[in-house]
Amino acid sequence: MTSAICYVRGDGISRTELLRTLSISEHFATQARIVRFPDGAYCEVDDSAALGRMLRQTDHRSSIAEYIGRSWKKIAGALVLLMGILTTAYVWGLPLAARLIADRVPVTVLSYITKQSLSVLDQGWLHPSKLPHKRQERVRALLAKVKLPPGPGPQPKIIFRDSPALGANAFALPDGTILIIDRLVEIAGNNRKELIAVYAHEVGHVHHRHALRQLIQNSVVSAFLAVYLGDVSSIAGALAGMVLQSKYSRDFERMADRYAAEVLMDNGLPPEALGTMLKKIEASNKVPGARQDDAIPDYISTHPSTEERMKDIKAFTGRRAQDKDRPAP
Amino acid sequence: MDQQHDAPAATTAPTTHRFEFHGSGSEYFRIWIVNLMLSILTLGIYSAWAKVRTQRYLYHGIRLNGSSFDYHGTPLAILKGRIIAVAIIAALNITPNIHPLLYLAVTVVFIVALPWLITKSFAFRMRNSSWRGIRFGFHGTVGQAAQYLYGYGILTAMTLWLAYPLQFSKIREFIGNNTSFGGTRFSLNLPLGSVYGIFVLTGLLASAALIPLVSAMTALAFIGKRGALPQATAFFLIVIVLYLFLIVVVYPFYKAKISNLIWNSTALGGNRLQSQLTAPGYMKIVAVNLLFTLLSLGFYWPWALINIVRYRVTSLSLVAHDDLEQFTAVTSNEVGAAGEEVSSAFDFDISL
Repeated sequence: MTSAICYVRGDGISRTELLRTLSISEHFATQARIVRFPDGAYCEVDDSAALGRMLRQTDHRSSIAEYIGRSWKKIAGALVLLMGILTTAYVWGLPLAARLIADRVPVTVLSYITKQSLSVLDQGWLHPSKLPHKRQERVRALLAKVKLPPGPGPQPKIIFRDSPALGANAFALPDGTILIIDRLVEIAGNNRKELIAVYAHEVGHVHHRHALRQLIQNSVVSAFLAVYLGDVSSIAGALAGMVLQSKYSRDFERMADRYAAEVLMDNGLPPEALGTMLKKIEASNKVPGARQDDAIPDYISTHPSTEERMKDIKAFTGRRAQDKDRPAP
Repeated sequence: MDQQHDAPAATTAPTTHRFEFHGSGSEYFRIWIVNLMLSILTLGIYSAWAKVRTQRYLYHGIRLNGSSFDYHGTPLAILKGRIIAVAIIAALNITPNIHPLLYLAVTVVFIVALPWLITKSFAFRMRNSSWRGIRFGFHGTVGQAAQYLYGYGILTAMTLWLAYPLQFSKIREFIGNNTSFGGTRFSLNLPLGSVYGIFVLTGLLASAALIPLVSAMTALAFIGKRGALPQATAFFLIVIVLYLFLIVVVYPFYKAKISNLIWNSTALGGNRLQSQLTAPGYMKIVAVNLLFTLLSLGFYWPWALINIVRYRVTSLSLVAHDDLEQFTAVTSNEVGAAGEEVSSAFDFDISL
């Protein structure tokens, strides 16, 4: 073998080939190496290491995969690098990309997605609202008066549904529709502050287009896990998906809480109203007889714990109060 | 083809050549992890190259009579197959949201194209497999594939799956009888009674687990009402036990029996294949693989794959009446100009 030419000599064989026209299989300690010639002939080399030594004297280039795979150290290095890239993509890359995409999705698409998902929900979980029409109008009128910071998001629109399964709850749908479950209005009673607090939280989701961003982020995470964990275990993939996606959901909840706190303060209402309302919702949705500590663990829960959220709101309003007090530069 | 195996078969006693497997979990782990990394970094495009690396490693590891098998598939053909597969999945998932008629049209096209896709993919895989430089081949037609897939499929559905073992046999025989090595066709005749026997035994084994488990569940539900064990937890445990039983006992039993039956009914000219998998042996490997894969959060997977491949390959032998050297020379000559190396625009493999 010279730097570019390979000579094969043996029992009735004499061949001279350009090295770059040959296909040489990778080196493995347990296997023979197969050299293929351009005319379809091939040769199995049992002494893989000796062939490797000969090849090292030539211009033969191994593939990048072969190069990394040759040493455990390089594999470890590549793994660390990959983990870094994946973590960055998960924590910053994907949320950023989802936000950029969500901001550019036309309203027609948003209302289409909303209509579709609402019609599915209406066939299962949701039932027509049992609140008297007057009550609905009063709530709408109250919430319409809430002063909201100007934002590019779609305009909030309120709809009511009854759902024993979902309990006291409200949801922000992609096109700005805010779905209020009857029970929520019932437990708020005459406390307007608390109703406004929940509404402001949902408007936070609308304002930041959380529904769509979450849809994008979750789809990417699921697709990724299905492709790469699919061959190991579909259960492992589903569990990993729950953990990874719930972090996004908790981040959105915190963001919406802060938005709500801000709206409450701008409207001259105490931001603590959100915290007390969260407590009420939690109490109302608790399954009767369930133990206190069998709550879903934090790392798979879609919402941070109510205590944590109340603490966050307090810290946030504290910071904002300080900023306000400081004279503008 | 017939002359060639009549003559030597009469005179020589058969020689048994065992298949060997050369490879190790740690080598395969390195292939797998590097493939995984490069595939992720290239947003999946590298996966076609990754598949070729994996296939070559596994094929090269299989040896018969001192020679390795080889895989010749090209990454671009694999990539093409993957793009087709992704396009199909995307079309089937997106069109129902656009218009029901469009979805219907896509589904019809998919149903019509499926036998073609499967046949072409299988032919690709066979054409790109070789031993001693001689390629395998597949000659099944799309029409036949459609007949076995849909014709017998309708029969299976109409008989509430009672005809499934029949359909299974027909598909297997279609594959077996249309595969060739060089100029020699394989032949496969599955005894239908044995196929039914395996399916019935597998079904019985699965229900043998189901019955005590369901009774245990009912019993636990009663206890649960008195507050001893939460009902949900009991249910969860039973589902897991059942799942484990299916994976570790029922599935290996079925695999060992059906693989043996298929291989032992396969002949190549005057030579036949012999597979000696045992249900307990298969179960042991699956149990170890499952345990370590779970404990290692999936990282044991490459070792697990090598374990099972090694077990399957080394349980196989070729009982040859022909002299292998002679047979190889004859069968490679028979290929001649007939149809070798038809790499075309339709070269693709959609299998994962």
